[in-house]
Amino acid sequence: MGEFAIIVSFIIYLVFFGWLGWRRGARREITVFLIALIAWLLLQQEGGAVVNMANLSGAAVTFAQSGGFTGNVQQAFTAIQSAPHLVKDEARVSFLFILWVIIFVATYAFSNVMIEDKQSHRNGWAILFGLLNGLFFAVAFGPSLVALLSPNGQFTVVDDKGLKLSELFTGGLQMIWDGISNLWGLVISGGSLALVVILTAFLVLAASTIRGGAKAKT
Amino acid sequence: MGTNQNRQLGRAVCDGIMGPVELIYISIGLIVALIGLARGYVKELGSTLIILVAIFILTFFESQLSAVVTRIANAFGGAADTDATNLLLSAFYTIIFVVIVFSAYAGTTLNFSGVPAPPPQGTLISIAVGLLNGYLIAGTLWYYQDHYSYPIGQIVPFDNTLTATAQNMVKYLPPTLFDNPVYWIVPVAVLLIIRVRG
Repeated sequence: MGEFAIIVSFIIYLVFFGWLGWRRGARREITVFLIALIAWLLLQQEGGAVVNMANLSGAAVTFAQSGGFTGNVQQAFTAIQSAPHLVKDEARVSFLFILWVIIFVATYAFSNVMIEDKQSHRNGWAILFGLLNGLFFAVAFGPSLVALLSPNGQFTVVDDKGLKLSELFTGGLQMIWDGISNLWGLVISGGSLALVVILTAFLVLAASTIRGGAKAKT
Repeated sequence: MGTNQNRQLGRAVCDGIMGPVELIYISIGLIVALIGLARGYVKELGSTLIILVAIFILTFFESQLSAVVTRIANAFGGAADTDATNLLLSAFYTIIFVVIVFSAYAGTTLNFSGVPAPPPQGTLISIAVGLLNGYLIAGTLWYYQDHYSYPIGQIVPFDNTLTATAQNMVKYLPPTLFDNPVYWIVPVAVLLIIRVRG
């Protein structure tokens, strides 16, 4: 894909999520953003406990299947000891990542139902948090979708360092910075005319947001 | 300090301790941006208009103004050599520009009637317009040092060459941004038309 196509795709992607944010309203978007953020932090800090709980659930199932409630309890305990962990060490990060994605998507879906339209106002905050959620989505799904759609693509979330909020944050910032850099390169290649059009358009857009008349006064 | 020597210099030193020259101008730009954020973009747009006009006038009439200033200085024996001429011209343009910018910010200024957009878009626009003004002001001040081979080095010693970042940044200083200074009048004219129509 050419550079121009990438920039345009990125802009369309951001515009779409900004529009989606405006449609859904500020409260829904802020709710999704905060829950995604808090869930990420909790899974980063308390990921071990979550994995232990999942393994404990797996052990409970093994216990039940081995007749722990109806048959020989001793045999059931022996079966638990030899049963493999539901979440193995090497799959720990992948498990937590998928769990976070499920929480994120579920919040997105449920916020539509749980929060009424009249409580979620359509304003600038809605657009802003819509964009931020769009970046969350891009970071969450981007690499796996690329791996899915590209013929020889590979994607893994296995990381020795574990889940890192800072990496998610810097990944999002890097994405924005790359977009701006590519856009700047494109503008520069257009010469003076492109620059003056951008400058004029920016000033006109800024002036047009002033409410209640735009006459100059001294 | 010779002209060619100064041309290569980009790191100001004061008692041996100073950072790259771009940091000074970036700091000026950021301070202007913060002022813009505090004033709000309704007021800042009026300043932008005047700054753009100032850049247009100073770049469009640069050759004529330089000739007049040099001739006057020669008549009074003030521009003995190239270094002195560069210092004089740099100081002249810097002072003129600073006076215009000061008039755009102080006292009775060109404001725009109306209420700014509510946060967060209003705040973001204020930051963006403030950064634009910061770029225009700091960049133009830097240009009048770079264009005249850093004559401030005759007053404050400079050390080392321009950093790679600075060399890249000086390509995009406001007065060098457009092939022709007339381009500057386009946003001014469009903005004025919008303002007059209301």
